[in-house]
Amino acid sequence: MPSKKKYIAHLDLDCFFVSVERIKDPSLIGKPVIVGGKADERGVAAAASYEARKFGIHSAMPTARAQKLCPKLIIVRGHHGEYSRISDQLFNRMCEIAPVVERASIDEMNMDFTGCEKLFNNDLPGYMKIIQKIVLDEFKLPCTIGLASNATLAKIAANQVKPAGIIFVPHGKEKEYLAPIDISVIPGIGKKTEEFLRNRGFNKVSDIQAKSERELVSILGKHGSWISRAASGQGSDVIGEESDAKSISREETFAKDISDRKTLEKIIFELTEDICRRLRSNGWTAGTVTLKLRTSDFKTITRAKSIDPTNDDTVVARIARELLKTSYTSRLPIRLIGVRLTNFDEEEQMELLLSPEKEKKQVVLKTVDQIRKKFGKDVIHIGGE
Amino acid sequence: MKFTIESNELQKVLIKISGVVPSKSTLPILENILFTLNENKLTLVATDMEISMSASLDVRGSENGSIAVPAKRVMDTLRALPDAQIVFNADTGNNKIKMITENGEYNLIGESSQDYPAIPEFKSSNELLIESSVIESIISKTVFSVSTDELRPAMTGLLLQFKEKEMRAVATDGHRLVRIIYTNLPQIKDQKDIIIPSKALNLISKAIESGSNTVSFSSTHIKFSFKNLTLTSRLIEESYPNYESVIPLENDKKLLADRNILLSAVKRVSLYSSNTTHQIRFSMKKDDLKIMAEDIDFGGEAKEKIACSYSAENIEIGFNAIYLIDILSHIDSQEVIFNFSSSVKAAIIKPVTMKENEDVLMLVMPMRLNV
Repeated sequence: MPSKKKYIAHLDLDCFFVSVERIKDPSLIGKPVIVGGKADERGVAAAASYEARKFGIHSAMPTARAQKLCPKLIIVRGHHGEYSRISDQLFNRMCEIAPVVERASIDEMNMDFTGCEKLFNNDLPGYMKIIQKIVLDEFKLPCTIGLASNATLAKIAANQVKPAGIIFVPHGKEKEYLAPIDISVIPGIGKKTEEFLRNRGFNKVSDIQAKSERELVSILGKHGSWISRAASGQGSDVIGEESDAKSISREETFAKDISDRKTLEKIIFELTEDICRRLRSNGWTAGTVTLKLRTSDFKTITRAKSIDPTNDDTVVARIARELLKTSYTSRLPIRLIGVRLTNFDEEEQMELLLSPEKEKKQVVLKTVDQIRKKFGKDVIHIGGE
Repeated sequence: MKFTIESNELQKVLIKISGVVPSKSTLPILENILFTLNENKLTLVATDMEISMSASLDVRGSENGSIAVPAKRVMDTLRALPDAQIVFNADTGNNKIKMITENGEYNLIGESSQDYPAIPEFKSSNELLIESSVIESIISKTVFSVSTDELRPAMTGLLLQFKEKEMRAVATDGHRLVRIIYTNLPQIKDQKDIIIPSKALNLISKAIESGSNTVSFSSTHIKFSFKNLTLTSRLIEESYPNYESVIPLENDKKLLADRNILLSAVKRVSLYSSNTTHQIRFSMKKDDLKIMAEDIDFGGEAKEKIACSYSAENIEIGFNAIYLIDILSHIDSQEVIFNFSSSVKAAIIKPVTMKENEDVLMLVMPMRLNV
């Protein structure tokens, strides 16, 4: 049987943080706004409105520099708990709409509509417009959706039509679609690689397509193989692997590669909080913690450790941090980090009441879960060790 | 530094102490073993900064000196060599080491003995003369139930409690517990509790020599001195949980069974238990014990009937088979007694016959039964 045509949609919320701030304060609409730290605190922009981007401002730019570019710039400190809460709500809503949903980051998600063509009158691109409208009507958030045969291409395409765009790259037209676009759109081509390629006459994706995978590997090393495939329109078409009940995991790809350990540890803790909550909601404990790292050269490192079965955030986060310590040398910045729990146990084995703290901890974790369920997951955090 | 020795003699001693050497350490010098030659006496020292071991052996020495030798390299070489005489020659000026056999020459680079950390000296406040067999018995009966959970550091060691007329050895991981009370040991001055890390206990059980030994300790360190070997370990300076409070006193349902028969039945039936939970079920009626297991995920079930003496009401109770096997394997009496109260309370397991002056109690928490 020939395999089904894959339909993966990539939904990207347009300058998400700014959009949320505009719901809270409509006077910000139509003005150049960034969400980020203040200039005198050496802050950087976490997000910039399209009005601000016209001045050349982009996320991760120091606020001081952004202010120089646009003196009328409005700086909002931001409500990060609120962003997570809304992102969660949107994710839950999309789970009602699409058969498989995967969160790519706080403001991006991938949805797999493979096999649903008939359900939507063979007009999936048309259905994307309906989804866009649902997001705007119910959440007051503008978004862009790319639909293609894989998640990588869907994301590239969505980036081309932002904001408030819809795009469909038909099957078989992937290469053709990418050919005239600038090479910087390919995920994995960072500033250095871009400069390196431009110096060698690569400017459009078609320039990359003209070279064989082997030639690119000889120029760029292993990394060339990924770029070659992405440039020809190939990419991951399996999403939502974590729905497999044998493991619970979460990973995050960063907008900008990170090499600061403290920041990585903080992200590990956030990922851990989420997966442990899901573990507890099933009444499970996990006996193995796996840390996944992808460095800027696309090398993936995974390290696992077996532990006494637990569902305690602080224990899992501690193990994950230890794994980070032993597996990450800081030589290259990290573009993706993930934590996975496997080797589940039901909480059947009874414990001696030797440590009242452990009993108390279970009560604390349960209470935290209830609070999060009611008020959103960022209203409360468990202190790290 | 230069001496001659039979390779197997050196290997025998190195095996005993090399367990201390950390495989990966932030202090690379610790991956070495310190060799010190004084006339015809070679002293070997290994440490991971928590535990230190030193051993001495007779060699034919020709030049005194001291050097830190890469533990893995030298162990691997000795393992690969047939029994042979070795001339060990180290230039302590440039740390080059040469091991020469009849047919071969092995050159390795050591490190300066100056860089090797010293074994901690401590002022012992208590000393105890104790037979090797007693030390071995204490360790073998308890160490299996020591916790590996680093979040509960006190439980990652063996508790020794010195009371007026007795010494207690206690180990627990929160699911099972072993308590042994000894009443025939020599008295010590202070009545105090110490917690010995399980790594130290495992090393001692491998290195122990027969005879009478001295155990000395302070509030921070313990030292085991055998004839040719000493082990010094830092103690775990934490307070041990109140284990007495979890030992039930009102377990009135008593089951008596042959230990060997029970152990082999549990082993057989557990082959059919779930790979993740290892749950087996004890179902007791008058003079009748049925052990059952089923693996819902992969299918398969097993049951066995065992003759026993039981006269209380019918009861069903679930256990992790691994815990039961551990406990039954470490009891040395022909018959065992189980004391139960209910299917959700701790079960006490005791040997029927015990050595004089030794009172052994083991305890295991049940697993919740779904049906």
